[in-house]
Amino acid sequence: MKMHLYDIISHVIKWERMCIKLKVSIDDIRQASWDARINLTPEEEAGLEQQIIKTFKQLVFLQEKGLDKIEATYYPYAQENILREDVALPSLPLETVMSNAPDADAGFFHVPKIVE
Amino acid sequence: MSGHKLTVYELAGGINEGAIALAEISEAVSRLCTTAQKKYNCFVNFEAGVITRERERIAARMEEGEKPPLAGVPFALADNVCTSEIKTTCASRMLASYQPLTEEGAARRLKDKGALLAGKTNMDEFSIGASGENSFFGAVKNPRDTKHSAGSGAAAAVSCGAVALALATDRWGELRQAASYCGVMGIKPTYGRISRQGLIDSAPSLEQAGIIAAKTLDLAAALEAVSGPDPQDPTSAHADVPAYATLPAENLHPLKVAVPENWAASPYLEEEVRDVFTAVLQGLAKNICPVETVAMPYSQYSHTTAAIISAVEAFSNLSNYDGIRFGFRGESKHLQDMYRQTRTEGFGSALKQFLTFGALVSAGKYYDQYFLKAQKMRTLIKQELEDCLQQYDLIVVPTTPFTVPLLGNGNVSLLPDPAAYYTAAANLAGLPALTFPLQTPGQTGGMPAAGLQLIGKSWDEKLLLQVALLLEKENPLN
Repeated sequence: MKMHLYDIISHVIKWERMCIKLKVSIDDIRQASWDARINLTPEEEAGLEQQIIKTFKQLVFLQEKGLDKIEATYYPYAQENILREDVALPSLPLETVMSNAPDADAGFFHVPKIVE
Repeated sequence: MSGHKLTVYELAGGINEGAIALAEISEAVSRLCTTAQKKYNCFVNFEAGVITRERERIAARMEEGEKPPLAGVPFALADNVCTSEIKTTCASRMLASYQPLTEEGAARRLKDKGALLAGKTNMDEFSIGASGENSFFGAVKNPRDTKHSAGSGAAAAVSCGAVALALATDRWGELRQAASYCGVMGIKPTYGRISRQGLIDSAPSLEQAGIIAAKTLDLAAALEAVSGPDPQDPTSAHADVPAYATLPAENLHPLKVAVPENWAASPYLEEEVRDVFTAVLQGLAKNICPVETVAMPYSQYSHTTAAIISAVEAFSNLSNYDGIRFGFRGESKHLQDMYRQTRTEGFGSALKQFLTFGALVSAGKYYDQYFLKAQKMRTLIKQELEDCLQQYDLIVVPTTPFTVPLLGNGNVSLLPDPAAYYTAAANLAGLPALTFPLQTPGQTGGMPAAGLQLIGKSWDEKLLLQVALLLEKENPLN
């Protein structure tokens, strides 16, 4: 199939528009790391930025495939509740439940202060 | 260990009948695991005392007249499967001292069947990736050549013969990739076939437990032992569990097998894998059944689609690691800052970047553009595979597009993971998939050249195992 100059130019424009969409800013990455409660080093931020740009380039198909009318699949199969008999069973002892806590005492988790 | 040449049922039968001494087996396992740990760093938690304790427990049951079907069969658990008496670290500083409170699901079922737990195996942190290098406890080395990646300690432990079976998880193909790197077999069954209770998973809609073994019959025996509904796991299915281990390999003909038309178009495909897989297709066509090419345009997007979904689910699922109720805590005088210190110091660099990416694509402008569209692409990929499997019994593809990577070559990208190019589709669709090791024609021993991946219909693990048994017995690929 021959492509006309008009087709080529319109493909290039479409690609450029898509590339603009695919950009990610360092501010967005910093906001995301704040959301994840993680501090990234400048090197990690820069490395992640490059990985995201690379990934977004590979995800151009998500913008191209006319996905708007497709239903999303969140689980491979329909989920159904599997319920056990409504009978009370013994719970774990409190001291066992709290045994992995970094700082706990008398049934309480110790945490640093929340307000200044 | 005399049990090496036996299947797990033959070994257990010998132990139950008194022909093989349980103590002899447990001593041999202890010795082999010690060596495997020194040479390949297979384990995170391995103590000879654990094996002794497990042996005593099995012996006590047998003294009471019980004959457990997997009596004394040595197995390992990936270190994201909870065990009640051994720490479960997920190969992360975050959980380096974490002791699970209960032991349930598949791990419990293997122990109930009498299998002998040898230890907890090393892996990538929180099982994200199959390089075997992103572990707080150091990289796993491949038993076939220590310069190469093993993918995971579970695959390495089976490959070097330290254990007969390993239970590990598979999120976008990690279990199958590691098995392929180590020249052994691995199966990820249909989503819901094995209970997910007791797994510390990062991506609940993709990740599930699977089995690694060196022999098809061992894979079948273990799958039969751990499968079935679990009232404690809402994702486990009410599906009947066939007697996998007694299935004959006969009566398979005529099979209908499909290969994606564009399988060789992967940008990551190495020439050696292409050549070996092409020879496999020819071998299948000559000796078993014709292999037809089928247009499958969406499956090539599986690994990138899975990367988006997996990152978002991991960002959500790992948000409870905050240093309060369990795990590592970073020092700070303020709560908010403590959360950040905990997660910054407790997680490794690759995982932190992955979680940040998950947070990014869950948020605002990126959600609709990437995450939601990735879930829609998942619909198309699932539909494409299911449509194909309505007409064919199996889909065959390579397991990974490249040969076993060298350790430390920097090829540990998670965004996206090239190793998942052929494996992620089965996770997105929840379909069963099995990897079978392949050598270059004429080669014996050494590193495996590639893996042959068989993808089957939902709940039809039986056929995957039957075909694997045929390949193993008759070697019809050459």
